[in-house]
Amino acid sequence: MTDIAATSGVHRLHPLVKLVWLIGLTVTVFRSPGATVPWLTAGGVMVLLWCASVPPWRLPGLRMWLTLAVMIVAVHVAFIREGRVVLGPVTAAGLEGGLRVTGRLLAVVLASHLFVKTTDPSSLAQALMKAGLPVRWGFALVTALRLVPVLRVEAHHVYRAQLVRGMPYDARGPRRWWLLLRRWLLPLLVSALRTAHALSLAMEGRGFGLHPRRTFRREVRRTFGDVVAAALLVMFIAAAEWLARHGG
Amino acid sequence: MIRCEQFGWRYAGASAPAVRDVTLEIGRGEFVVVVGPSGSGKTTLALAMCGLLIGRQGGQPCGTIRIDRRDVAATPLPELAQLIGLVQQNPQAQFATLNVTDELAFGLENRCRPPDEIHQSSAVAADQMAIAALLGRSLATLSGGEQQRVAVASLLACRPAALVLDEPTASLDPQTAGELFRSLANLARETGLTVVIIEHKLAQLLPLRPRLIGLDEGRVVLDQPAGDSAAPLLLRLTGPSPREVSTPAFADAPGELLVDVAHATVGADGRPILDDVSLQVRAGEVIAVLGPNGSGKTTLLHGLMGLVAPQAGSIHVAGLSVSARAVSRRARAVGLVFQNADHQLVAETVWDEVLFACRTQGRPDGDAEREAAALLDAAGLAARRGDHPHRLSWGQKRRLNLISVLLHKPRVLLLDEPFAGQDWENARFLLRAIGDIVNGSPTRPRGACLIVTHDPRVVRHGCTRVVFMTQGRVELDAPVPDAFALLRSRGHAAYVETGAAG
Repeated sequence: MTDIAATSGVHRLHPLVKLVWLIGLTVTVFRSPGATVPWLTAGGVMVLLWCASVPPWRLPGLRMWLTLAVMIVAVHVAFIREGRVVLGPVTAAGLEGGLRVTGRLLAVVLASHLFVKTTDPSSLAQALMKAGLPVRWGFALVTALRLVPVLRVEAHHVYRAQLVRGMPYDARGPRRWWLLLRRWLLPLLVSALRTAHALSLAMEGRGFGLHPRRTFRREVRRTFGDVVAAALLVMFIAAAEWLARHGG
Repeated sequence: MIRCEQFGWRYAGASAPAVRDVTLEIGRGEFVVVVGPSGSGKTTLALAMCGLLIGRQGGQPCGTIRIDRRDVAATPLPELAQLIGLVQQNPQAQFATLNVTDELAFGLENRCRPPDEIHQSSAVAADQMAIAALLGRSLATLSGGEQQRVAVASLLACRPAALVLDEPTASLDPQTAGELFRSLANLARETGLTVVIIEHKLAQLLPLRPRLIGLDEGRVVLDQPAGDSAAPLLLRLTGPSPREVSTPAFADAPGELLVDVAHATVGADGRPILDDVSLQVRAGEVIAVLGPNGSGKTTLLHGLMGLVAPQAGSIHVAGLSVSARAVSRRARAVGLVFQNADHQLVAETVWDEVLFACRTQGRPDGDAEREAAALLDAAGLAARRGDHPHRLSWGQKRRLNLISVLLHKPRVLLLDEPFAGQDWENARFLLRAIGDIVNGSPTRPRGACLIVTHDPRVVRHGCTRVVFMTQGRVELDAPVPDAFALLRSRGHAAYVETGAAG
């Protein structure tokens, strides 16, 4: 979840500016034909993570992402044999292809992590609703975020409750997955539907849906920092385009 | 304020109405408590009053309910919400936002109130429920009592004329529950808010002198202010008094050691939940595990089952270290009933649910089926054996949970708040079933039971010893009479008060 206790410059940026940055950055690294732009972008995001007091090594699933990155490079090197030989069976095309895909992956994963850790979901939903998103859709985002941890706990409870009645979920092998599918998923689904039903009643019971629009207790204001961030995004895209045209 | 005229409701597919011929008038500023046995129609009436039944659930209404002269059936829910609000049992399921301040503002934002008014009303509601210190906190970090107060405050911020609360303290410790009840009574007295509470915890409510409305089989059978004249009928509605019924008797001399916890420490997220806990339980003992919310009671039961491993110390149950055997295999010797009835229901019918554990453990079906039929009959569920378990009432589900664990006769029973929301009649059935395991039989050795409960009647009449926990430690471990005296002297009287109904 968002580290809303922190108050770095990145945290203070308008949520929509950060969202546009995330989209712009993702499109740019995927448009880039070489490996330079994705890797420079990933490095830049690392610096921003550091500035926002969000240590990159706390990225959820860090080991999995790094393993995936190494595997992508290995597969490219193993199967792309065209171009100049760099070392043994390794060709420049294979190496660059692997580094390009890995750079894109890391840049997007790190940027998404930065966005999630520095953006209050309520502020994002409010900004989106003020920008014209229907209220129901805006709250779909907030309630989804609200229900994820609730349902995760429910899933854990259902699993344990069945385990203690002798269901061999702690055994190994394919039978475990078959049992989970048959016995665990249905009670979990029932639980999720009940929770969603109770929440919808509670929301309507406090006037949700009374008007097509709503007011907000606080304003998510734009600041000079947002203008600077928007300008930096334009400069970043322009620089990436220039590098792409000059072989970067 | 609330006027019911010959109101009745029959759920789709039900053979009898859940509520019938209810005629009531509740005025502004009244503090009302609705009592009655499980399945008497209390929740149905609450849902109907708040506009959450007619036109929203399958069923057949008759008569009318008016809130401030507006017919509930003809008023859209968001409009009705400006007059009356419902606080449900589980506050977690009612929160629509991510932090306390946003939650208080939610209803007013829906009504397009200006920000100044939202701030002012939120601040007043926060003061009324004493949660000003929680403003800005993430809802996920609140305790059960704090969550329930926020749920009430989020409705108060919308300034409704009436508030209905359906067992709002089912999972709260007695102290927290008492504080919530007192806050609500004060609100009714000082602000003119109409408060209707559905509750079994009469011991804490009667001193607040509420108007009592009793339901039985869907009808109003009691409607009068609290007082001596109501006591006999009140006792009948909440089930026979423990003094009138036989509760299980346990052998005096405890037998072999079944649970041995030695200096166990269990932690999560870097903080200890159980801190250097030592405890021994012998065959023939029924231990009441008491303590405030968050004191480690549930974690203790989970530790005994092997669901959480001790970081220090050791836990042995039925002669085996909890780390020595897979949890699913330990289920033969240890039975655990979880706090939430729904989590344990896995089968398609009540019958299959009862036999579930026996089948997973490979026990012959013939014997098990005979015993299952007898247990279902004793629990009053024989007629429901073909129904889906989720169609049962909460009280019936709790009995089903326990039966499904009892059938394979574990030697150690671990029960997490099995009596929450139960009337005394149902509690008595549960206690007898526990007594059967604990006392053993000529062919079966005696067992032991640990019960997490907030009901002093159950402790007094169904347990042999009290273990009182605070902040992950065992503060007190004594036989019931001594423990009650000690708890009173240490300022924990809320855990031992039984009031008029008990």
